[in-house]
Amino acid sequence: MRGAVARHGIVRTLSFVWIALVILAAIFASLLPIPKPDALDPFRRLLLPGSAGHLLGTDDLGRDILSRLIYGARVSLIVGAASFVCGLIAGGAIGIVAGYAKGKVERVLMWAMDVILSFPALVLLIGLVAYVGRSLFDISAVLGFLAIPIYARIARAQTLSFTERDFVLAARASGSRPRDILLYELLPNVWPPMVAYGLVAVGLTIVVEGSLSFLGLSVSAPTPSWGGMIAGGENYLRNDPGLVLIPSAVMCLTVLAFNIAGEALGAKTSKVGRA
Amino acid sequence: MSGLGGRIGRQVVALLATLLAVSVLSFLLTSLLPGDPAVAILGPSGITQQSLASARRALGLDHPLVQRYWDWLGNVVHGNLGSSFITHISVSSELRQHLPVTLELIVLATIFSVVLAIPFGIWSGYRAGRADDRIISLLAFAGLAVPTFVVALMLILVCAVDLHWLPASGWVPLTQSPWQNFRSALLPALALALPQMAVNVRVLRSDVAATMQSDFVTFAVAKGLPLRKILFRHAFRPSSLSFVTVMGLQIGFLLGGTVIVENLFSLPGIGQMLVQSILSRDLITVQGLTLFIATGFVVINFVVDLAYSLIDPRIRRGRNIATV
Amino acid sequence: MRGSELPKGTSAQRRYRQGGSAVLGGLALVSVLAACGGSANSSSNNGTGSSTTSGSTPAAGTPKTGGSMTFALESESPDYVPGGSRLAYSGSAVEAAVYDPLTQYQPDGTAKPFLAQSVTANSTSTQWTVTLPSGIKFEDGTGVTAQDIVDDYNQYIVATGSSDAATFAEVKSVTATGPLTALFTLSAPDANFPIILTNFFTFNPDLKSKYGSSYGAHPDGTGPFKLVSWQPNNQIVLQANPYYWRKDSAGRQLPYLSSITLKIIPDGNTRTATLQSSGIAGFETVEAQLMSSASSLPGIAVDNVDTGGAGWFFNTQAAPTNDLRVREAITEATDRSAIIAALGAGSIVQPRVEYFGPNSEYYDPQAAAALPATDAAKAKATLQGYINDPKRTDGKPVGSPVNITLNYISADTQEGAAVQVAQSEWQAAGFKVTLNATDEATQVSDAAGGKDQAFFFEWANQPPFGLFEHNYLPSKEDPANWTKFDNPTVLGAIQSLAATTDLNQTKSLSHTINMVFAQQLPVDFLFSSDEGWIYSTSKVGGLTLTPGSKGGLGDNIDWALMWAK
Repeated sequence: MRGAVARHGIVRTLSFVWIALVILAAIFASLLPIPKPDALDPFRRLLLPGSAGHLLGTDDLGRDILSRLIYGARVSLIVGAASFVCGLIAGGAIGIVAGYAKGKVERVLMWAMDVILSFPALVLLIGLVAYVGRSLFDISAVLGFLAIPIYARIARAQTLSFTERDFVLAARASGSRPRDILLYELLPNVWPPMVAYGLVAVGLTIVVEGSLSFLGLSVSAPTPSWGGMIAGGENYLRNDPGLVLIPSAVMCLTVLAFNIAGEALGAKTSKVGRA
Repeated sequence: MSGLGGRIGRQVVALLATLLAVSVLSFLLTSLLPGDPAVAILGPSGITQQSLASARRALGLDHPLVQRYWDWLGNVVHGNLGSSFITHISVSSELRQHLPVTLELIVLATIFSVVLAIPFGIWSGYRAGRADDRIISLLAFAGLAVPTFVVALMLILVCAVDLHWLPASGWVPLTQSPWQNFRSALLPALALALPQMAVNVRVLRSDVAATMQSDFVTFAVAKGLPLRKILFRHAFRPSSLSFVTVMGLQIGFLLGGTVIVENLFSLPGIGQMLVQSILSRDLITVQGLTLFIATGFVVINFVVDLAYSLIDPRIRRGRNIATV
Repeated sequence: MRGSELPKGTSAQRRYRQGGSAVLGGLALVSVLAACGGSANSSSNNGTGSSTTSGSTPAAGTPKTGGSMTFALESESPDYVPGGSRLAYSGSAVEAAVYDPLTQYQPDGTAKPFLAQSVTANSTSTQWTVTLPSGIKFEDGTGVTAQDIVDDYNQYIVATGSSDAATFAEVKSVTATGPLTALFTLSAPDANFPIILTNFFTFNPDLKSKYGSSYGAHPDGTGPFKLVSWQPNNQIVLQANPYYWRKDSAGRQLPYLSSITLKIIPDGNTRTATLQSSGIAGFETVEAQLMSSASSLPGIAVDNVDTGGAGWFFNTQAAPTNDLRVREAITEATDRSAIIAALGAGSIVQPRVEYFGPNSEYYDPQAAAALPATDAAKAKATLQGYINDPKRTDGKPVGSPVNITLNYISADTQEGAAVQVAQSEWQAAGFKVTLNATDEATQVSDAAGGKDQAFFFEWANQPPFGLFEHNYLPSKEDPANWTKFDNPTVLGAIQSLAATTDLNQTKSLSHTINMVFAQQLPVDFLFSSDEGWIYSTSKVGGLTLTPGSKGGLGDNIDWALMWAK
């Protein structure tokens, strides 16, 4: 039993370490001794990993792959964080209010969430991106917006399971204002599972952004993103598989790490909840 | 049963309201897209002042937006989704052409994901916390972490180009040759099934693990029932509820989410139809497809929700699919 | 603008049915064309085999009759009947199988009768008589008459919303003057009208009455093959047309193949993978990188043709690109060899320094030399002149950077590579460059409406008149004047071009226009855009391109001459 715990401890630790590493690299990218991600040289394209000055080689435009990976982490992390923050704040607020207020308010709020959820995501994405644009901020905002309904559903479900609990009923009976009940009684119990889901959702959002990049619908060039790197390398898969495999591996590891972290937190919060 | 009937009635009304809102939103969204549909139809070399004006007239773009929506809605109410701006073929007959491909992919992917997920999910839940559970869980997370397009690229490279096992692309209709049809659908369905399978394993695992703690399983164990029986009869059956729900959600999402796989494997499904109609500003087709996909999503979830209430009366009230 | 938004290659619409609308007047030299039409009758009527294969690799081996072949195309077209929506880029390959044009491009830029027996003009080139040979049949066996041409024109080509109407805008009316003679009356003289007729397919005009609104899915022409089944976005199955009118040099009935299957495979990598896994015998592409990488595969041959060119098109009426110094700085900053290297197709793609490629009859070495040469230092200095000009057109204070937005279609990998190299080159010259990812509908709408600053555009080769006339008429009346470049010298030369069929005069007028472009720079020329046919040499015999292909004109595959090994 102890061995198993230790083993899964290692996987979890590695996950947190990897996430920390990716975040640090993304933040301090400009301080690292790497070429600029958009410094291209078409005459030194497709260099193999280990070439002078290019640890992981260069891509089809002769840009440093390592540098693009690190700067690409910014896109993935910012997009992931945006969906996390938007989902947690907007989705959380909507869900808690709906779950607490019940009745008409709940029905209207959740109905609005259903409209967004049932709208084919691709149409919504293409449509929204066409209006707001393709900067990193725009893409983050759009993906953040699309994250709201699921968080709202989770928050509402959590809230529902607490509204009939003794401490909420007691607070209500003692005449606490609804705002206080929401903030001080419900919120502390609702947010932990949302954070746990959120970490998994960060991974999911990174995959979604990658898919959008792959379809040519994400951030405008030359901003590097992992999905964009994979898409750009697709035609070189046979002779220079690194162009696809390296960003794929980094993306998978990162998403995996977020999933494991989310699960670890989830296990923790559910224990706390039970206690 | 009257409570259930009333609840269904309310839900149907909400469902129709959802679809109406989706249709208004998508009409606004697509009509206001930058890029003139007349330009898209004529192409750079077909553009003159006269041809632009003539194409706009032919498309009815000279009418106000509200009137266009109203006309469209009137037709939809009568079961007519309209005809494509571009091919002049009715949207519903184009849907009939493209839908079977996507549906078959979804069905196959769901079957693969369920068949593969059940043994792993149950075992993982039964062995919760042990090494084998850890490994299965890790693999499941890995399955979630690999983007579908990477899986698709690798499947083509390995199974089609290197091993010559299966075709790299193309679609053979079921009516033409069931075997060739299966061969053409296998790789894309596998690519779609992987993330679904991972989710299913996780859902089953946590449900089975929870059920294993319950009294009647403890009782069954104490009675000395064989392990297989306990796992399948006592532990799996109750968990299959949330399993069904998750599958409903997945199928709903897949309805609009097969684009990348359809494109990489050159399959004539509704994902490709959707993207092409957006790019060519074939607004009527986008509109019809959006409504169709939204309807599919809403109806599937409604049915799942209903089945849920019927199977387990305890959750008839209050519990919504979202809470799972 | 070749291309495709997502998914890659889908609806790749680059080259369109070609043609210009001659709305400008002039005189005509009819005799040359009349003679040309006359002499071509006999050869084109039975003319096949070697006489029409001048454009490409000669077919090796002895043709075999029968068998079938599977090819892949990049994208699907919404329909395959003229008068509908414009075709996707690869749609012309389907058209080439089911239709015959009335005339066909020759490498020198003229057009000779193909399906038509002769095409002759009156003395002012305002009326053109097209005579059909007798005995030509549609797929259903009914004979083709002049009335069919008239009905095709009236009911399809110029129907409301037709994408082909612009091509035939100069035609006032078409009437049948005999069972096999149709008279095209033009609103203004056009000595080069036979070129317009390379876009005229004769087809069964009963389609609309037979199939109603879905007629576009039922092409019925006189071509070597007929469409027997079509699963949109999946495949088109074509069968040999038993009534086809051409025979090969040995007198054998064409086409050789008894059927062709055309699969739609949008993703370039998948297309190569399918070829390698024997799912197809060959495919068509406009992605130069694919041609380049396929040429190194064993057993694979690549036939490619320079079909046009690509360049940065500037909006000459919007700041900052309305200032010549800005366009000049960009042109000087452009290193074509770097852009071509980035495309990964150095052996396929050639630099372009003017509208015409070096293979073209109209190539103009003087204009090529007049284009500002690549010179990074000079580019900087030129731009400084603008930056420090108190009257700079963008209204910004002296010394502040020049912002410029470059539109591109994001899912097109070739375009994506080009704009990124450009961004780095322009930034080195001192610009602040924003790349704006968009889709084709938006990009063309913006360019037509003058709402952009610069974008990537590819044009298809054409003789000078058609090429310039479509893009350089007064911008107020011509939304397709993408650069909004109104120049009286260019306009005058276009008017004169409409009136001449004399090669030297055409060249000299074209030179006048080219020189204005080299000095005023509404376009910064970049590289050739190619179309390629990539195929397995062990399966495909007799892959032949149309005669004009050699000059990059109306290039297409001649399906009738292909045979299975």
